[in-house]
Amino acid sequence: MKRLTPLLLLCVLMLSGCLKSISVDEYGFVLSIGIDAGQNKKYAYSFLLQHDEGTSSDSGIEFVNHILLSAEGDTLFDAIATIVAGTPYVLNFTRTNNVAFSEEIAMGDGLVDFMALHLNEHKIRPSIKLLVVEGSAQEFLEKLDAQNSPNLAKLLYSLLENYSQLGIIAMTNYTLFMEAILDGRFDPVLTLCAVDKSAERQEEQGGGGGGSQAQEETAGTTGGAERKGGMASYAWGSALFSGTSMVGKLTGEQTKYLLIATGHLEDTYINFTYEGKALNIHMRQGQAPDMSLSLFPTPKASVQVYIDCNIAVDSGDDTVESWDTGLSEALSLYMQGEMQNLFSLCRSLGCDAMGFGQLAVKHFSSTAAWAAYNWREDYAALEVDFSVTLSLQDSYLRGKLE
Amino acid sequence: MKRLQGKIGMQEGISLCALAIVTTSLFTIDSAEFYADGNAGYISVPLSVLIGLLGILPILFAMKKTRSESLSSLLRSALGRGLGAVAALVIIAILFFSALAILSKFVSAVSSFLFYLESGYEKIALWMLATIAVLSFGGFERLGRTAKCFAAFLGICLIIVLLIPIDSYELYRIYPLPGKDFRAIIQDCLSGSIKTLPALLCLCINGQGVHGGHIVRRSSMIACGIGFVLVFAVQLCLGLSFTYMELQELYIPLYRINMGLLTEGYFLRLDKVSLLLWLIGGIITVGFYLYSASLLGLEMYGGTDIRPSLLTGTAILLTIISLAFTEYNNAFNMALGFFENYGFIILLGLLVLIAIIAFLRAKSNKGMEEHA
Repeated sequence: MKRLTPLLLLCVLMLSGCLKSISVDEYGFVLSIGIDAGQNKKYAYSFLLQHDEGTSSDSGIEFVNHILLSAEGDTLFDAIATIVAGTPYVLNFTRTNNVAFSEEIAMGDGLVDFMALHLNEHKIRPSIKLLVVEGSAQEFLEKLDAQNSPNLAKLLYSLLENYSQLGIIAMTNYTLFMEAILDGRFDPVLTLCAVDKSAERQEEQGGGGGGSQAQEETAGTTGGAERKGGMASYAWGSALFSGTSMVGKLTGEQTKYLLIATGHLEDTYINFTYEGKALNIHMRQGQAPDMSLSLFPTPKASVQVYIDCNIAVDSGDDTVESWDTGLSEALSLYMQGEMQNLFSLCRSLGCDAMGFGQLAVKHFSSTAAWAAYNWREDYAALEVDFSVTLSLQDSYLRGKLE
Repeated sequence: MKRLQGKIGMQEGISLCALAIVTTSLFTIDSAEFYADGNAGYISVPLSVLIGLLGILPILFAMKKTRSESLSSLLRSALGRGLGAVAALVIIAILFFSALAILSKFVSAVSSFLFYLESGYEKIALWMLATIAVLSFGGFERLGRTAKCFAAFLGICLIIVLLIPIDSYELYRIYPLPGKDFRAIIQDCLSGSIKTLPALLCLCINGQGVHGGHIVRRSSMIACGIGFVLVFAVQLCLGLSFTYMELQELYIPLYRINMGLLTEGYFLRLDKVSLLLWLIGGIITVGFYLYSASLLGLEMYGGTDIRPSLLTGTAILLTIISLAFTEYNNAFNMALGFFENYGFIILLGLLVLIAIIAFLRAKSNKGMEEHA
């Protein structure tokens, strides 16, 4: 044993757990991938990297500099090879949070080509979020930088989650997208993103440069409203897909109704006018909707949603009193109409965004029968009855001072 | 005889056996084939654990009837030295195939998911087998105590891993119900028993090490009960996470179970850590199979020391697993596929045959004693 001990200790030194050592600073961690149409190759890929740069002399806080690398290539791996040839570090995709496709790419076969990739080849997680950008994906990534954000990855996912909680975007990741494509039980709805030129102008004005040029630009706002500060890049609305191709867009407002119908809403605010009084209602989906579907003789579905409400803005005096005498019913009918319009839009685009296919599959007892069935054909003829049950929360707090 | 067996209690025996059942049942499934016609895994995989238990019961009762403390003594008393040696050879081969099935799965998973391809399969296999050898050279007692240290911990980790993506579970994914036709489900149940039987056989081989046949019987039943519950929970959660079309595409579906989650968080990125945890289970299981096969060989073919058998077994595993990732990959996969699809016929047939002969021998011996 005494002779063995030094040998064992020597062996311990070799048990480092690394087969090949690369220190952390030799990696370039890619947080986002942007995909646009290329000039010379099929695609132009952009990679947003988080890169530790140094320490602020004023605050002593370490700040992070973000790097955007871009290269054209027919596949993602071509572009990676081109970029790696000119960078002093290894691109690492284990922390990649999202892939942003330009609208042009999403409307073509960009998603089909992306699905052909073996993500594990570069250790890209199948949980990456998929985004569609109105305009250039590269510009969207460029404008993501928010004044030396200490952690861009955290900023990215908290941004998406916050927006999702407000009900103004739908979120999908690669796994769910693949589920939709492989099995056809629903169609994907991706987060719609854009760049707000007004916010960018404000930034430039604040920085003391480019003011006159900025005033000439009027296009690009956040959901129609001008904004000061924050990132120019933002997410607002949803991109509708039929299979692998983008077929339409929803505004942030329409997305709220999509989330309500599918039971994915957390919190949102809806503007509503009742008897000439402008109201803003805070809504929360406490209970999952009741959905049912019959396929024969004609496909027919019903959706019953349950919403807890609070009145947030009230230009009248007797709103709470009128809740039971007409307001609740009027709001329900308004919401039913919005959901009906949304469903008609989705159906006309061939996009089962509300996932009625998830109910259709329950009518089958074998995978062979389900595979032989053409859900898309029945979906085109589907009729849906929406009904909304609203309940007013905190109705005892009637005073606005509360 | 230097068997390095030692003695372990029932808790260690149950831990060892349950760990082997769960690891083999969950990680040696060929997803592309198993889920090709639908997902009925939440029915067939747990039922296969019970069929495995049913398959070993005749042996357990034969051991009781012949007062055999281990499988080798049962083989000798039922079949004699010659035929017993042949039967032992078949059992040893099945244990090696089971060990190889687990090893190949974990070598390729660790290589693909944790490292980059240039790391090389054989280096990872060598690293795993070195650990397996350290465990199995320590003997049955070391294996049992190591299993007891990790089994409860791994079980809790498994439950946590299933709870983390609870928000992403959707019932519609498990449809169409029951996923496969009943004939296919029964076939899956029967062929799946080959994943449970080796663990139970190993416990029988080590009967002396767990204080006799009655402890083997109780340990087997409790371990199968634990295995049934855990594999049912995992298969159900997998069915709620992925449709059968997605499951076909996933090499180890449990590794990807939280990929449907839309919310980010610390737990989302624990998949690689969890793979290393399952690897601990795999290493203990392979060590258990390797030691048991070596012990059976030692007891049936003679010898005074188990260590040369263990060394040979380790070398065989390393050689085959290294070849499995070369141009012999197709041959290896074909052999493994044949074993996983039809191995249960050979093993169940053999066990029933041994049990019948043992009962007949015991009856005639009893008759002779009464006559005398």
